[in-house]
Amino acid sequence: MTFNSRLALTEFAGLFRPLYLTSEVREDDWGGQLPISRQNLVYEIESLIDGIYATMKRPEVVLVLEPDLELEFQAWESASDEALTNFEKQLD
Amino acid sequence: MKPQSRYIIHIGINFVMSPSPNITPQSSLAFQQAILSNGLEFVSVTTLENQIVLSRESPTPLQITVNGLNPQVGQFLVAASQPKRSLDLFAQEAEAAVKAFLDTWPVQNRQMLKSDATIRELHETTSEHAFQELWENLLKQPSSMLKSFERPILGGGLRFVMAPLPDEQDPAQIEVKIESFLGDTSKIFVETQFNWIQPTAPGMPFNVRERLSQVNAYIEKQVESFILGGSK
Repeated sequence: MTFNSRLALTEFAGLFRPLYLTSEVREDDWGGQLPISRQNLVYEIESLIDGIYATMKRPEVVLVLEPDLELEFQAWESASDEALTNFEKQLD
Repeated sequence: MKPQSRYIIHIGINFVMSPSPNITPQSSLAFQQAILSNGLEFVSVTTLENQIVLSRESPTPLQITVNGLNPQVGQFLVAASQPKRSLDLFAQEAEAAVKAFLDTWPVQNRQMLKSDATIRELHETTSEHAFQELWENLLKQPSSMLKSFERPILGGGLRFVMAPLPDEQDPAQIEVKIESFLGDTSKIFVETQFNWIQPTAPGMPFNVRERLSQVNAYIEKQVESFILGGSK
């Protein structure tokens, strides 16, 4: 799960959300329009119409590490440091 | 908007019912067999503790989900992204899937607690930018007003949530989103969802075609008329 600034609202809404799926399932890859915080895309301006309306280059997908995966990597990292420290202490 | 340019990108219909279908490895196999017997094809099956998902991507995408939410309540959902077929053909397949469901879990007094249906579609615009069309042509707002944001406008849209009519026999809440399509700013994105909120009497059939036709008729008449500024 990717956390973002909508989370609190989503959690709150979850109190009223039914436990079942609905007919607009898979909004992300089934043609829905997700909020930008839930899209790993970079929208680059291609041209500006009347100085206001931006047309975009085809958005590029940006790979972002899932936060829980990142935490796991950090845990491994700190565990490795701890193991190294312990190993060094043993040498002393 | 060019009314003839309608291109459907998602169709889905969902039923929440009581009692729940009893999902076991045996009933999953029976359901798969019933799906094939009713002329539908699938390539992938996922059977979880309380869920069966049958799906395929080609030649036309389809996903059928049976969910046992708890011993009393279950759901049956049929959906297709990029349907690549008419609404009528999708309805035909959804009806076949319902037949397979009823063959697998025959219950006399099954009651529909609620149901919903969603159609997403894209339309070509007649302006350079889809949001420009919505803002200036439809809402008659000056583009200068958007300068308050001090940013180029990538996209935007409208969202309407509508209550059932007081005398509606089968009351439905309706939600319509009309937005510029972020993936291609020359297109307008429209999502229409009906949410039927009143439980039916026990033993009433799954009215797949009727429900999908009701959503489609509302899009073709009311939603398109609104987008065209009431000229349809």
